[in-house]
Amino acid sequence: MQLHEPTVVHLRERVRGPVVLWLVDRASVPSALVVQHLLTTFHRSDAQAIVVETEPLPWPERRVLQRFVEELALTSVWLVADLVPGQVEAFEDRAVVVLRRIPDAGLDMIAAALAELIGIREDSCASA
Amino acid sequence: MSEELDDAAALEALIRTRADGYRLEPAATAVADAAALWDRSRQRVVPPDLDPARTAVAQAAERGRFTVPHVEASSRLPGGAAIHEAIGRSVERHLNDLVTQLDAYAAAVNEALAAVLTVLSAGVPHEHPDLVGQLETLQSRLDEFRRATP
Repeated sequence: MQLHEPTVVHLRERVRGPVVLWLVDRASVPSALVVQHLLTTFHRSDAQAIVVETEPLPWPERRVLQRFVEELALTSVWLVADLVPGQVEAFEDRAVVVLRRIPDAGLDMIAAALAELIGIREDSCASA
Repeated sequence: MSEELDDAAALEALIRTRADGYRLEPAATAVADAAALWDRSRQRVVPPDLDPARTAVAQAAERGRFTVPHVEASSRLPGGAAIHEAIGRSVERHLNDLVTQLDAYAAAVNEALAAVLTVLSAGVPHEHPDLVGQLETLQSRLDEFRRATP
């Protein structure tokens, strides 16, 4: 699958910091947002999250999510609703960490571990 | 990266080995705060009740067929019935075209109403984010004032 070029360019030119890609079901999206909130508040203020809706959401649910992002004052979240071909692959190519489910642990623990994993991945990239 | 790559297990492994090292009280508090914000977000987004509109549109669709009314031709005057029938046929001929136009118009209106309903069902929330933002600013200032006032 060819990467979606506009997304690749956008990620390269506009998105700074480590990217965490969330490809989780709709019930897990609020938890992903909370983890991102904790990650940027307590561990990595430069971390970015791309949260892909893996199934279409009815508007009230999507609006609640948008509202939640506003309430958390999250400026580092990209909620992706309508995927185009090659876009997920572009996200995966740019992401430092890819999550397809919420790890089985408290959200504060996940955020802390995520910060450490990002650091490990960045170190291994730097030394490569 | 592989399409199947999932770092959830890697995070769980890290958490198992360093759980105590990850404990951070403010973060635990923030989780509780986020839960409250989630509830607030859900309460503020109330989907409109479209059932009355759906019923009204369905009723309009049922009534959207026009007919030329039947005119009673009987008469007490000699030859009156024949005159009534002749006039009735003449008027009906003129009205048929009008009824056809009205039917077409009603069908178009019904389609338009159904389209509006579809858009509303898909979601056009009526909200003023700027006003909500101003109210929240005022609320937080009021809270600060209350906290500062003995």
